[in-house]
Amino acid sequence: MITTPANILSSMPSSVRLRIRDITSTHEAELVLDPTLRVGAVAQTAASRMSLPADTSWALRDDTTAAFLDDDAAIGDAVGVNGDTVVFLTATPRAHLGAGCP
Amino acid sequence: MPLTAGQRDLLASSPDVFADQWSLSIVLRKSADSPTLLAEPVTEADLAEARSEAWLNGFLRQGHPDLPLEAVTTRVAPLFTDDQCIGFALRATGSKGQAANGAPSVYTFGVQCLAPVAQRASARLLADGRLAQDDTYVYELHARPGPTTTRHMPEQAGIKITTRTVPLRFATRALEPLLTAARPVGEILDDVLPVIFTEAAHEKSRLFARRGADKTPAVETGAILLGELCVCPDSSEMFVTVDDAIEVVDAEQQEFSLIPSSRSWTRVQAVLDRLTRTDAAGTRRLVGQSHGHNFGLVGEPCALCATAKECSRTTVFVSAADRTFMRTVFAGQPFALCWIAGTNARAEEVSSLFTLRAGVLQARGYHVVESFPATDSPLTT
Repeated sequence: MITTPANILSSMPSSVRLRIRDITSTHEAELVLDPTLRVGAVAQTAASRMSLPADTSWALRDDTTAAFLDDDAAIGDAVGVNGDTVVFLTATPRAHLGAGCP
Repeated sequence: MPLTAGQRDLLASSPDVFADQWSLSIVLRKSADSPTLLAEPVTEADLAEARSEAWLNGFLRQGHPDLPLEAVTTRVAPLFTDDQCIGFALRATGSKGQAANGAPSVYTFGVQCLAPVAQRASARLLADGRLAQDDTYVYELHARPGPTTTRHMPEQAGIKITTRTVPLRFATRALEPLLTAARPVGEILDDVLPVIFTEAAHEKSRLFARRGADKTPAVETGAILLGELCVCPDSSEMFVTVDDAIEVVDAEQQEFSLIPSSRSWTRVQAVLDRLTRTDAAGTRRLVGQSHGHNFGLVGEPCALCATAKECSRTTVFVSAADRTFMRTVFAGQPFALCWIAGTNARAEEVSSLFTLRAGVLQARGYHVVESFPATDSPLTT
């Protein structure tokens, strides 16, 4: 049987707190969530609930580090904080400008 | 768009049309006479831009800037001529029941407004091999009684979410003196949302959009536009001002696209956060974007070149990518601006401002002033 050492278990947050806004700071959401959820699923759920178009792929950007979170990572690992700290993120559409083709 | 006389007659001939629920779909065929390839449902989300435009024209521009989008309910009804569905109408009703003019606001939209639905369907047909890359298709709008399709994200276990939409804040400015002092650019249409740039912001929008034209090969470059939503105390008209532009830097600049990176967005966000901290009135915000379609047109001049005063073959158009960018970055903001620069077939620089009109980003004129006077106290919705 594989067991997890008690000191690691005690350091794992039971929930993560996020505050997500869109790029224009028009829509905001506060989330308390299971840290094992995937970043991609959190982004799409939050975007949908924030009345952002759900047929677009959304990424989460950390307002502190400016880095996009990895869609496939667990949200708890991606933001790397315990349950008491609120992490500020921006929901960013995977969209670009441009003619696409002439 | 306000109703034309013909559309008014259409609706008048069936006054209860809004009493029924209607389900719309876009039907794709290879040609007008060929069998149906696919019937793609028009969902609630597909109507979001049309709904927000009805909110803009029926409420924000009619003396109700305090009414949030969420407080407006809409009913959809198809527009028929003979047996053909030529578009749809939306009836928008505010939380207090009526719009400013005492009657529910009704706006009409053509089939073209649902082009993204057709594009979504064609992408699926391409993926499963029923359409080839170079195939063309036609699409038409169908309507039948029934509720509009709604696609909710499945509930995600383990998430507790509370959301809010930040109220719009408006600067109070008299519109008429600004327009009197302004120079018009392009054709000024009577029924569109007034837009006023400062000379400096206009030049920065152009400069950043065209910066990529100097590279070899030319690449796309652009800026995010800053300004205010304003309401006129005399006419109650709403309008948009643009007083600055932030260059989109650290983006992936390609010949036919401009892809903002995390650093691009971080810079924009930093400016927005600084504005929030330093703008005592709290009215300045992101109001749109400018970018350049800087690739040149290739080919011989057309037959009209020798005689036409202006060349209408240009690289200035709203692409599918531009439209997606606008409806995602500026979701629920039907007043957002899309300013595009490029060249025509004579290699002359051209540009145009596009805003939502009848559910489509359409070219329209605007005004440019030297500067804006200080505002009165802000109005918060």
